[in-house]
Amino acid sequence: MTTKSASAEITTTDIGVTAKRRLGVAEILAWSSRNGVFVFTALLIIAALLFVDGFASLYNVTDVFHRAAPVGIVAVGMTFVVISGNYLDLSVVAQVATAGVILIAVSNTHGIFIAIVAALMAAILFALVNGIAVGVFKANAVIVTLATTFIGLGVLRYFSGGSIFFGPPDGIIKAFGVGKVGPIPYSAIVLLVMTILLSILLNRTNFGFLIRSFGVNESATRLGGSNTALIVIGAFLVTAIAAMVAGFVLAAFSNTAVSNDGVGYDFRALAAIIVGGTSVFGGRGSVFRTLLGVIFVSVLTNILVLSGISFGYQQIALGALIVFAVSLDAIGRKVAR
Amino acid sequence: MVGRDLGLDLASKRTTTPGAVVLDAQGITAPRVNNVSVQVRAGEIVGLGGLVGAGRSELVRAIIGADDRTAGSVTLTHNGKTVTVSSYQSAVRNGVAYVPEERRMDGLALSMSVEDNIRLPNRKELSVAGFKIGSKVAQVAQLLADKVGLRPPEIRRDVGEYSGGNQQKVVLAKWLGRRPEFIVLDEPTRGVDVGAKAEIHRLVKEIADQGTAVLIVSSDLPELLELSDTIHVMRDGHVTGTLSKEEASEKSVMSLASGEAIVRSS
Repeated sequence: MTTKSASAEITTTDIGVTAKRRLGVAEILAWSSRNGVFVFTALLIIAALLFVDGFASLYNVTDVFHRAAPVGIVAVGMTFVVISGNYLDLSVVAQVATAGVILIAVSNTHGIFIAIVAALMAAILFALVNGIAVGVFKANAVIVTLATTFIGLGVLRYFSGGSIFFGPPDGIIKAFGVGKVGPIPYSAIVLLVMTILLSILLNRTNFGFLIRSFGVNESATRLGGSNTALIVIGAFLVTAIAAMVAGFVLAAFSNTAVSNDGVGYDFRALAAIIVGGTSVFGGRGSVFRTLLGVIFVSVLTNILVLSGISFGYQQIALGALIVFAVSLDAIGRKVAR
Repeated sequence: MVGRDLGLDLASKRTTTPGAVVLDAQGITAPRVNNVSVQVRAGEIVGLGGLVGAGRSELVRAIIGADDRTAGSVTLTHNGKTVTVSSYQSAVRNGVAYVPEERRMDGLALSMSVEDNIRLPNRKELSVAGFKIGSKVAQVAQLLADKVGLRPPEIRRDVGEYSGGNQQKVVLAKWLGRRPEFIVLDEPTRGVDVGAKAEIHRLVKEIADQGTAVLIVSSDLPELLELSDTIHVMRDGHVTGTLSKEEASEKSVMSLASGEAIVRSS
């Protein structure tokens, strides 16, 4: 018995494992779950350029990004919760509205600086409640964040009385909402900056590494000597900060804020994340993929709008897209095993 | 069974000169563990024998804090400094390494690369202000993969693509980077082919020879006898006997593990 023969044996086994992969329908579906977004986004844009009147104008393209920015910012942040394997944060609905209302209402009475600090406190509070319930007590993220949405909106309606808040007509918030650099609206720049910053956080730091590792294998990550509760709280904190920024951007659009501003943001953000190819099972995905998912969903919606298709059909299309994408994700996971 | 003859063939004589006590666990009580005390010295390999379900895995997990313990104290002594192990994280910070029984569940992130798996416990040393130093991660991972004899030594490949023996080498590699003071190995060669098994045995001896205190749980008797300097045999959460290298044999371990000796003497 020599080590040399042992090594030959091992190598053969490894080749055996690698050669086992065959290309069937399931493998193609799995591949498109991971990489389909690149192809489909390109195809969609080409189709829109060729066949949809009014798509290829500078005004329309910047408008698409402008409208996509708030949901996009929520989505790039929520990518952290999804990659950590905790499904999603439904409470972004309440977080976006809370940030918007606080920004307008508090800056009217106490100035914008105090307003931003207050909104930040609210974001941290959301992250702590969600993160501690899910990360420390191991409660189900979907149920916890569903509950904190309820709590958040309840508190917001109690304080706001459900009324709309208007910012001053010549204030900094309004100026930000309509401001542009050349043809590019500030909102789109915020989305881009958030994407780059969060991408660095996910790919280059130990925190981002632990988020991914936790999403792949919680137990191995804990036994690697890391504080898993902090990882989960951190994932919810990134989401909460992003939702706060999105709330600011949304409030600045119209210079108003109301407690139901964030309705639908949970699902639309998740749609962008899943379409981008980030797995709902955790561990696999990226912030740039989410940005691409945002672009895909926004362009699709824009095409439907320009083609005169009604809102009801748009909803059906988006819903069907998600059922399709999530199914592909599940098939991809099965194939990988 | 295979293994016995092969084990003898490969057994290299270890010159055991155990140093000072590194791990001192007193009165450990946890589910399925009843008031057990264990000491491991620097450079010593202590084996835990017994039947499956005797409480050995539960004992080692309670010692290092991977599971909660209801009673007992654990201290680690290194360079004349003694620290109390209160949580698993504090254990790892103070030089404890743990190769768990369930390597696919607890030991590795299978869909991550070898490099990332090695990075996990070493991430702080391989970063500046929380930012990863990519070149250093790759360099250290490659060094450790070569050291444990990973084949093929491709650190960018997913761990899940490797055979069981190679996966176990990755688990060892990720902890060797920390130069542990105390390492726990729970069934280190379960589901591992004979070639890799011999290599893992060689590595374990090497780790001990470098002064690390080693605590090993194994249901593979030839392995336990070959590696251990001292063997504690457990049954129903108690230590039923302690055997020196000279006293230890398949028969003496099995009689303590099964309680046969107790029945015969009464």
